[in-house]
Amino acid sequence: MTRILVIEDEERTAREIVGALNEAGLFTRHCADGAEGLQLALEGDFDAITLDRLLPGLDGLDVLRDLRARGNSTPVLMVSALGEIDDRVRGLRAGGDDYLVKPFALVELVARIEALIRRPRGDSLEAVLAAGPIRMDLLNRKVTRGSRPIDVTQREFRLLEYFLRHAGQLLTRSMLYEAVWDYKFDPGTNLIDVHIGRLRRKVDFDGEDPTIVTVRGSGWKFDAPR
Amino acid sequence: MRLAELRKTSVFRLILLFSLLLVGSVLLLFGFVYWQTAALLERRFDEQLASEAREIARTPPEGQVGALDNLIASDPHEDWRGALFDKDGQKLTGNIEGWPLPIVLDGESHDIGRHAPGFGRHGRHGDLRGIGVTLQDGRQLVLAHRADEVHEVRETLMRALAGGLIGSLALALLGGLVMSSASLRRIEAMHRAAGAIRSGDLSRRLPVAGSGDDFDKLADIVNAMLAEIERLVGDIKAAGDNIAHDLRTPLTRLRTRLEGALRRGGPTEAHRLAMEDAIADTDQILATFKALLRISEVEAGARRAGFTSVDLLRLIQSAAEFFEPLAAESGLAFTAEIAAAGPVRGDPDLLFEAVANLLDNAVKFTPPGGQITLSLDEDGEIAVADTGPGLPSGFKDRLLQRFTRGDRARHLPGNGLGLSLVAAVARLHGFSLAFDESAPGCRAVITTKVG
Repeated sequence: MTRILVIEDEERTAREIVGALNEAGLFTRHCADGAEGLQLALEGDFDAITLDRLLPGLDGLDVLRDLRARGNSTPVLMVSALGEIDDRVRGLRAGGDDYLVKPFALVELVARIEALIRRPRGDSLEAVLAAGPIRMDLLNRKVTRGSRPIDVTQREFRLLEYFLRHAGQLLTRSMLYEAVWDYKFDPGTNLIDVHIGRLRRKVDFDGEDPTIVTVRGSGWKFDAPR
Repeated sequence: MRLAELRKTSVFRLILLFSLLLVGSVLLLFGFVYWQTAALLERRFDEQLASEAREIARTPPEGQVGALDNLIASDPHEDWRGALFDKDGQKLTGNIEGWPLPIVLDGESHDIGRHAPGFGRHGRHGDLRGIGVTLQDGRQLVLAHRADEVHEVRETLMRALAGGLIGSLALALLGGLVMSSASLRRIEAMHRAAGAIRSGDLSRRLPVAGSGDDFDKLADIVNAMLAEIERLVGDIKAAGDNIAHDLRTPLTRLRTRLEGALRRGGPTEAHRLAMEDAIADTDQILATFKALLRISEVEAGARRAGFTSVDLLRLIQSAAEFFEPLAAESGLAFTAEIAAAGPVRGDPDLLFEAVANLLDNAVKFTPPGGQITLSLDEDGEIAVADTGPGLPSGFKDRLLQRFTRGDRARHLPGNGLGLSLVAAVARLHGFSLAFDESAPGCRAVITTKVG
């Protein structure tokens, strides 16, 4: 049973978040106060926490710092109306695992929570990454689908690697962009789409089972047919 | 203009202070002159008294009576008064009565006054000053002389002093009134102008007399500030108008769409599609807001604190790699001409975003079959050239203003904020942004500062 602690003081936002997480099959516990939230996070066994940045009682950043100082390493997704780069950096430096700026799409929040819960295991140790028909040789930078070699660019390699590490999960445009490109900015919608489209044409030929599938209005998912 | 107001002006206070100083210095000066003059006159007078007394004292006793009589007789104005007494105090000769007299025989001059007993009232005697001397054989000599002249000079001096003092004080105060009322009038004029500005007329300026005095300097400074404020308010208003315009369109579209879906009813699937469209519209509105906030953030300059050394080569390579598929998708040829340029100080994310915005524009405005060239030369000059329609004439000046969009862009997605952000980023870094209209197409150039 996967449990998410939602620390959010704004009632309506909280209801939406809880609703979306429940719909995705995740159990939630909601709390509107920073100090109480910290207590719950320390006592309860949660798989992830969404933490609002501005809270009554105890500020979100302080909750996070306290939590980390007490050795609790539950993944935390910071949610904030403060979207400037500095705020993001502060949030991540205080021990946040991800940062989401309001207003956000609920699918984005769910996708990011899912990604936090199922974090990839020790990536640097593996030499080969495989999911479904795709096999990636991380050392020699070779990709094959079954026996067919796939020629990808360096960027496409990183993109595909991210897909494979998060196989089965919904990945949004911004998640993919943040994971693969080094510069922080908000690219328009179609730029990422074009890159994914290109990769998909290389990975999924006509007649083959599609591995990179579009999730309408939200993003993509690596589906590994077994 | 009320006197109470006048009294409070700094000029008036200054004048008052100077008046006091003037009075003080006039008093000192006149006092010194008076003191010196009076002392000189008195000394002369006393010397004359003493020398006449000495003259008689030096005369042999038998001639002394004659000498005194001579002195008195030779004085047609009866200025001299005098008497010679023997050692018992009996008057031997003279035109004053016998003892007691208000005088001591100490050989020094003393004021006797106007109506001293014994000196008589006859004649035109004014104030007297006299000397009493005991002669060698015990005789006593008393001599006095009219001292009016000395006193008159003294009084004249005093009157001149008082008159001068009153005159100069009056002049100073009058000058102060005139000058401070002049300054008060100017301040009132400024006050009126400021009132008009405060009530919303930002085109008003503080009056400048043109004399280049302190008031003018102050007015010039304030006027320059006002001009800047007017410009900023104008910018904000223009931006506000543009926000209203650019947001009203998608908001209206959103509303119409939702209204239509509600009216039409129909199956759930139709509602779902309408909702998806509505969400897309909302996303565009949010993106516009986000872009606005980002520009404000960049313009606020706080990001300069996070400047690091930026590898331009890598940045431009990434940008090329990032946009090449999009250009290909849009049927455009994409070329990157990248030279090894030194590092620059800056914010890599913002610089990437700026270059991305230029490339995004190029892709958007260049018709299929065109060519886009991204280049970086050794001097750190980043250029994005396209073979699109180029900039409409007269558009260049407006180009960098927020929300300015060419007519051709009306049907394209975008919020008109892209180039504003590029300009803001360039300004933040102290780089220059220029548009080269060499046909065909447009060439945007960011000149960085390498090294």
